[in-house]
Amino acid sequence: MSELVWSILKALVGVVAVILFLSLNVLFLTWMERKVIARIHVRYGPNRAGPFGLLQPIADMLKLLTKEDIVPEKADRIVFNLAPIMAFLFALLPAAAIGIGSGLIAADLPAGVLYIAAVASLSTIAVLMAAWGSNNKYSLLGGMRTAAQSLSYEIPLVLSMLGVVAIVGSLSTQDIVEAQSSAWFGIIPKWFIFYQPIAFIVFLSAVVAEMGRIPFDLPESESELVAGFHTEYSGMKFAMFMFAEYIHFVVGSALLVTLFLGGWHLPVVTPLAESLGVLKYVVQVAVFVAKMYAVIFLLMWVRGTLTRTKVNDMLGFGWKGLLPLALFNVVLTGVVLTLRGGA
Amino acid sequence: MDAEQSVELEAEQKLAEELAERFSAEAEPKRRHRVDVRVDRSSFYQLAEHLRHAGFDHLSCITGVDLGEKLEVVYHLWRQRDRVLAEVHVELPAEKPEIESVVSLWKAADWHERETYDMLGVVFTGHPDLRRILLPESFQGHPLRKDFKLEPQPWYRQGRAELWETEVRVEAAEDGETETMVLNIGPQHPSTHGVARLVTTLSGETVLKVEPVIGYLHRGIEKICENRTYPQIVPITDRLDYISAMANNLGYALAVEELMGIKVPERAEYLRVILAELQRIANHLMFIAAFGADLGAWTVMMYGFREREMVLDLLEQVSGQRLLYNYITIGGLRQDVPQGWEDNVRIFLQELPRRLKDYERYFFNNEIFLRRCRGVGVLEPELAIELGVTGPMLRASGVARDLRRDEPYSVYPKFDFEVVTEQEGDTLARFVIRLKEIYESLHIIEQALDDLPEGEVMAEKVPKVLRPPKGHAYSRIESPKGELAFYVVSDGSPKPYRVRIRSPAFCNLSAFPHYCTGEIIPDMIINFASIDIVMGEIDR
Repeated sequence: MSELVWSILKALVGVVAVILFLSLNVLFLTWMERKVIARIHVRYGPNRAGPFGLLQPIADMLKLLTKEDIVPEKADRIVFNLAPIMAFLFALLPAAAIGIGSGLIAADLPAGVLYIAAVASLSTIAVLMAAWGSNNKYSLLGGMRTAAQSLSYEIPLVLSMLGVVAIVGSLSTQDIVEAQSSAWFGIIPKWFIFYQPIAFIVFLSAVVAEMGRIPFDLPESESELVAGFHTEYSGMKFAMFMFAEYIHFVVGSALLVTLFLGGWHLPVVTPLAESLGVLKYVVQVAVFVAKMYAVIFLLMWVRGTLTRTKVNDMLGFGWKGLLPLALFNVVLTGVVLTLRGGA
Repeated sequence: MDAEQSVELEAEQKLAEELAERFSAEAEPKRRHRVDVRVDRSSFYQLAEHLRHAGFDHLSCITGVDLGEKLEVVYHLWRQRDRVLAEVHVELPAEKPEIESVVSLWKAADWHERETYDMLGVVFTGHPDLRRILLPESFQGHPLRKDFKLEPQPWYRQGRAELWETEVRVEAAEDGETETMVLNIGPQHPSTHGVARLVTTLSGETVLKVEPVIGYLHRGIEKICENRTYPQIVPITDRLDYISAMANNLGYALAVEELMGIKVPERAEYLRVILAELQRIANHLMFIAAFGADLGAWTVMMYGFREREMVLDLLEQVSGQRLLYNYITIGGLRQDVPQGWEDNVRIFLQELPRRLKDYERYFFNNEIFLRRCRGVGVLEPELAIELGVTGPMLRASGVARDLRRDEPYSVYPKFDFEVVTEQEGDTLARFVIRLKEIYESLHIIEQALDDLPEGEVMAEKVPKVLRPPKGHAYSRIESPKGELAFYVVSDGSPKPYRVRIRSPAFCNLSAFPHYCTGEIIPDMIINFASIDIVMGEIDR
């Protein structure tokens, strides 16, 4: 009995930790995104609330909380109200299987990567619900685009993970990170970005599309579809969609770090930290978060630089470009691994 | 008329004689580029047909004037070959104002005739779709009639808003018909540049039909002008195309100066050219910025605004205003430019090309941008002329027409510049042409600064109260968006009898439904953006 209580308690702690970690990051991200994009735009960005405008996310939250919650008269109320909650929940799910330090993981599933791929596609359902429930043509078009986009990019996304999984021989994210712990000559890390460069590029492109960010922000391209699927949402429901979107951003970047950039491993630093006892976790988390933010910064930079693609180009790029490339990578990895004797 | 001028008027003379002979019309050459034709209603259509086949391929404007017992419809037709603008006046009885539609001859007539019907109640027989265009269907009366009473509409008096039908009926799909969907883009939408509204029929994301609906920003400027004195109208013109107000001031000033026979001092002419070209640069930078926003490239938007800021600073230094300048006025300029202003312009001339290099690097190395714009919304040159398209849009289709060269005004003939054209006629060409025009404008400003004479900036003997002699003048300028024309009729009083504004964006927008079908929504949106519309000018 006590074992059951213990495991429930452990799970609960994990859930709370994940939500806390994500929420803090999302709050910081909204500020960072505005600041980074503003600098690229030769603007200042938020600088009124708190030092460097750091309290801006809180002000935003308060504003959104006090906004009127509008439900369109002809909307499908149940679906309409459920959609933002679902979007939020579905966005949280994949985070459970991503660790930010050795053992610092909510649920170290043996089929971790598979689980992530499976639950990541759930958020499409929430978007479609929002699109249909709003009873708005822009929303519907945005929702349809989301469905098309998710379908096209999910496959290359999963296939690009396959190469990494084949090398490690395990689906657990912990194992995948551990497999990248060593380094050549002690300084050049043995990250999978070097073993699987093609997969990395495919994954990076596909994950941007999954996040729905420029150049793949077609589901909510504002110059065409006003705001896409969340056109009709206001106040906290809108905030939940935004929250979900930023969680995707965090999770996607974290996954990229886990799969290709060695997770919490950094040559020289992490081996040294091993002797620090409990403090080694602090170092690990710091390394992980630093890498994650490097990826996030890169994606913000991309947003500040590129224009939006066309719908048909987006689909063409997914099916004709990324998919064959991902398949080729899987075959190549298989051949190389077989020749090396199943290493 | 001295000998030199009569040689110059050879083409005009020939046309006048020909028309007088064949259609028993009163025709006389008024000045270079202008032939005044008065024709009977019965022979009007033959005359129009004749002109159409004689090379008058550009219908510049259709104007209605209420003369009391009679209504007058004025057609302005342009022939590029010998650069003659025929001004055809037809008088109609006020009680039954009917005239043949010329839509079958010039497609551009479509919206002009609708507007004339809307404002003056002239019925154009044979027009395919004669509806009100700027005012709502339920509007009562025709406001530009002289007997129109400026009083609230019945619905307002009765307090019954339901009588005010502003909605354009959107045909609902038939029962069970699920193939097409009507998407109402605007009047409030992030990419309609104001309050334009596009009623779009879609099949999936493919556009089957587009109907622009305008009039949401209609302020009755043409009517207001009839109740203001001539100088009072200058600030009103600012509010037409509010992002190139200087060009509007210039266009109007030229029309009144022609009526009054005012000769503008040379320094003012040079400064006008500099200001007009600065305004063109500002307008095109604004276009690039807005175009970037429509593409999802917000960085470009911010950069465009940053560069435009430099021009606005220069214009602010001369006029004290940043948007609505009210600076170019009848007879010259309000005041001379401040000391050292020329040096500021020179600094700008050096700075801008350096910054434009960034734009070129950004756009032309950007595969996503090129793929989005290339081949989208191709407008064939013949169709473009037929539809009355002017300005950068027309030149992007490979038609080298530019009023600064074709019908020179101010001191443009003194400067060396190129009429840039692009051959493709697609959205990319319309973008590139604006970028190239900025360079041409810089070139013109440089020359004008080099030769800038000293002297007065206001003509002598411009009276306090302007009473131009009876008559009419049609001035055309190449505004940043295309052909901007003012048709001013004077009855000798201090207020104009009629002011008609031929707005370039109005005509360019009227062409839009003719070449955008078959595209998907994102293509249509950037195609729409490439027209460069400003609703203040379209709705007036």
